[in-house]
Amino acid sequence: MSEPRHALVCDDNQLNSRLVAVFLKKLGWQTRIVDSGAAALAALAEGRYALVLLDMRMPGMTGEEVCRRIREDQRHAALPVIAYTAHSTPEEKERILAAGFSGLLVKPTSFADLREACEGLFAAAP
Amino acid sequence: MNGAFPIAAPARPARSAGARCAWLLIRDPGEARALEFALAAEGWQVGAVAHTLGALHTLIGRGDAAPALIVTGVRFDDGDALRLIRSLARRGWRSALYIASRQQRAVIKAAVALAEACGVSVAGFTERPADAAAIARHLAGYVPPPDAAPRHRAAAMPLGKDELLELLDRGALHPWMQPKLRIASGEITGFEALLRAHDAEGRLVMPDRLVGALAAHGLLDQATMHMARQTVEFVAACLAEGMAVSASVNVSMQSLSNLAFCQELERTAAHVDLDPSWITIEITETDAMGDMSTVIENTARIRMHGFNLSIDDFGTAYSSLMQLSRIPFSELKIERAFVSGIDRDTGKQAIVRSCAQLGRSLGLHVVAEGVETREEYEAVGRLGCTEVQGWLIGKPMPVAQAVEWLRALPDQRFAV
Repeated sequence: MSEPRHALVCDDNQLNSRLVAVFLKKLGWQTRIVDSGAAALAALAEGRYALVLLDMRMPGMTGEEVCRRIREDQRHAALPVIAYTAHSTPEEKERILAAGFSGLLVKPTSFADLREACEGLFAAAP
Repeated sequence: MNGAFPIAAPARPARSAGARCAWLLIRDPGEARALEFALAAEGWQVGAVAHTLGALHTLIGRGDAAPALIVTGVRFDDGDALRLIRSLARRGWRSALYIASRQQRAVIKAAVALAEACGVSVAGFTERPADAAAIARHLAGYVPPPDAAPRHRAAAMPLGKDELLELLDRGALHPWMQPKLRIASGEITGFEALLRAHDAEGRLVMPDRLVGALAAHGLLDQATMHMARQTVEFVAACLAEGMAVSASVNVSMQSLSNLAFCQELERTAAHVDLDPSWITIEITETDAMGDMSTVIENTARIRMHGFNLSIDDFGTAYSSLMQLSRIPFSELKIERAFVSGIDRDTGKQAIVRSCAQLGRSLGLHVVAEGVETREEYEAVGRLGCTEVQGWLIGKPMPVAQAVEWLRALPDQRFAV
């Protein structure tokens, strides 16, 4: 069994973040949950995450702002960052991807959605 | 009337029309005779054969008991099946029709639609009237409904204000959950909460006796909020167990116009720490096509609060595409009438295909409602619907049962 990889989930809603953690665990990930953009940036400073899931709608720093800050750090230029959003129109998807996200999950998200997003980002499943 | 003749030697006289008694109204005598023998071979007692509408009217007029079935063409020398349908409806005859005609399908379907609109049952139709054996085979398994004129049954008696208040006080209004399946992954991704109540004797009360009455007595907001609260708790409990399901609640535009209602809805979700995007507010297409500024304001507000928004019964009203694109929907639910029998109906296929294309190009989930057979399921999937709801997946069930049902599914997947 290979070493589990580490994912960072940033959502101010605990039901959501716990559910995502359950799903990620099924996919072989170990998850750390934080509830704000500031906490996410602090956790990333430790630099040991292979995947970040960011809720777009959080009090304080928005998901887009957090993503912009992540990308400012050269070490995280290629870090897979998935937006977790309630918006599904084609224009909004474009806008989110243009903001530097690697992919997006539209709420409400199912297990298959998350697995597909992960498989899209990591050619071989973790 | 020379166009009509009773069967030369009927096993029983036409007057004692039984459950398997059929009459024929077919212009061509040769075709009529072939059909008569084919039906007899399948156990039908052919009580009368007519070649003109006038002849059939004479039979009807002489006071014979209505047969279970009338196999009819569409055009006759002296009239057509549309007139026959009208007169059957006028007389309250309970015979079901089977239409056998070479007429173009659009005409046959119009006749079927007229029959349905008049409350006359239709056992089936064919565009190949000459194929008597096929018609007889088709009808071999036909069982006339026990009361063949049930469509115009008296509307269920709506409850009175005191009864409604008693239900509300007793907390006897409940959401029953009907599952929704995502076609691409086979996952159960959500439920629609449907209103049910139990009266003081424990009998189930259906929405047709509740919704209109609640609205008429100014109790709909209260009842809807009660439903929403239980639905929110159901979803939060599922999520806490690691089962990702959303749920939808039907809300009237009148309730959505009420600012206090929307705020209460938001508080209800916040109370259990539920992200409102797990809850979808369903409004009917008719409601969505009301006064545009009111609709936009109220739907935009509900989305602002983070709830999803669905347009229900899509296809039953007349939305303009412009209106549709202005309302921030996240889901479009295609009315069941377009889904029922879709695998055998190219007209319905065209409608559902274009609804699905429209919905998907606007980034919406597209749900086919009322899916009851595997054939319908496969058809709506091919036509571009993303989700299905209907008895094939599951009937509405009480909350506790829905949770058990969901727990029993491996990986939340339902095998169709």
